[in-house]
Amino acid sequence: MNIFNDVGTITALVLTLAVFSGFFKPNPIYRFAESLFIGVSAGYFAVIWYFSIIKPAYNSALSGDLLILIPLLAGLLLFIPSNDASYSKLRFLPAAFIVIVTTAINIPVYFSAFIQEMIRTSIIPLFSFDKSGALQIDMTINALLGIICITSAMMFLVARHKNSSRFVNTTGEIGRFFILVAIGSAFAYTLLSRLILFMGKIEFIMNAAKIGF
Amino acid sequence: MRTFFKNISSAIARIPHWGLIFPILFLMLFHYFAIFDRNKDEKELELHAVPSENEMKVFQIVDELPQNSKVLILVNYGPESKYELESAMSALIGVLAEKNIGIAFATMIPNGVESAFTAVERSIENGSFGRERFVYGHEYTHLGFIVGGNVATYLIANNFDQVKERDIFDSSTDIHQPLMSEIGNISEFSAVFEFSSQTFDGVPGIVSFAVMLKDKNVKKVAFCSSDMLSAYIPFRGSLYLDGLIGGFKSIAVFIHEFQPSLMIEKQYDMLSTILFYIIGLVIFSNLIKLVTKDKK
Repeated sequence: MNIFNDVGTITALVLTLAVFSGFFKPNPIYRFAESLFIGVSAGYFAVIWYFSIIKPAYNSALSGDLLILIPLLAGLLLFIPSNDASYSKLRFLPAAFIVIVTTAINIPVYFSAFIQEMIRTSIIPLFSFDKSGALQIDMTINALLGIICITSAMMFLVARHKNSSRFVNTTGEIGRFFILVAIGSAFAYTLLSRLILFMGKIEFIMNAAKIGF
Repeated sequence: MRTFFKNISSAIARIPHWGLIFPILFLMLFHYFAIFDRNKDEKELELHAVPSENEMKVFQIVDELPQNSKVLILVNYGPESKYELESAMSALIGVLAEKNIGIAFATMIPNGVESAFTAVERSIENGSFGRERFVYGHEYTHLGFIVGGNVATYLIANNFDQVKERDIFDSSTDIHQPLMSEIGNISEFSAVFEFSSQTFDGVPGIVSFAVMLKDKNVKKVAFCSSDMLSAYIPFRGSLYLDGLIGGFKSIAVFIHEFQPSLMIEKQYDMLSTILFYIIGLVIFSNLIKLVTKDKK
């Protein structure tokens, strides 16, 4: 198969190169690809939302499920103009409903996942032993580091203030270091992820070029 | 001599870093691809990565999935993580197809709608199994985009009979799909896998799902892209996650174990080379700064 027969591949290749051209300097080709991407994305999302929400709702209403009219009405309320003094406050009803439902669903998830479970997983034995009873040095160091990291980071975020004692300030500085390491590693992982994407695109260009020429 | 060196160094130091990185990356990658094919017979690439204890747990879960059972795969990634997660997903699909395990795909992000189909196509192209062996509605199905973030996870965990009523093509799963007609609720799946490149309101999808699952006994495994690793790692040893394959190294190890024909070693080798050059470039540019005493 000649890959250049595939119109989709040619288009993808041209657009990829057009986007890459923006690395050096913004130019009309890059701006064209950028605008096309925004337009196509908007169209794609519109189609997805239509088939995922509007069409099933319409079908339900047609089949006699009139409950679907309530969210429809709530959606329409959001379009009331803000300068209409008599009815403008009605706009807040659907917004308030969304906030209440989202909060009600998220609070138990946040509490269980970020508070209860994080505390549970942070309580680990200080000294780890394997099945034969020998000390596992790596796990012990890991546990020690974990304890230092948690206490110092908490000291930095909670206890440290202007008139703190020297001990609190020093421990807080250690905590700050650990927080910076965490932020740095998150940034490095994001960079790595983008590099993999970039690598995949280069591979795509090379494969297209190899088969095409 | 010293002045000459200083002049050259300061000229290089004036080039903006990103302007230097991209041409070097381009040249290096093109060079890599050019030599790779020429040398591939002589040079057998190896994956210099050993599976960790956590990765072994995932291998065990996948190995122990009973034949002819069903699994749910939540496809929460789009094109932005395609190169990282698609290979892992097609490797997993290959393993599941070998064991005659039925797969139900669902997505909670609009970008994820196509990802499941492209991963299935890739599995078929890879030769894991024939197209006739993997029929939509019998071996796999797609329940489409389930709207609402954490609300969607609640529906999947507790009202799965509603979620599975219609598939992505709006046809009734009970009537047209033998695969889904046997599934009544979520605990009838032997495992739930999530392939993710984003969180929902700051919570990983699989964790939110596990919290809402309450006492139902289903294995929960997450595959996440490198940029999501910092969000998923805190839950690695928790009750909410039975296994985690996070980041490119873990994904490479998983693919190497289950689908060696995907040749992940090449990408792994390439990424290691790029990272090596980037680190080299950063050290080099800082050395120039040090020599020229450039404080900027």
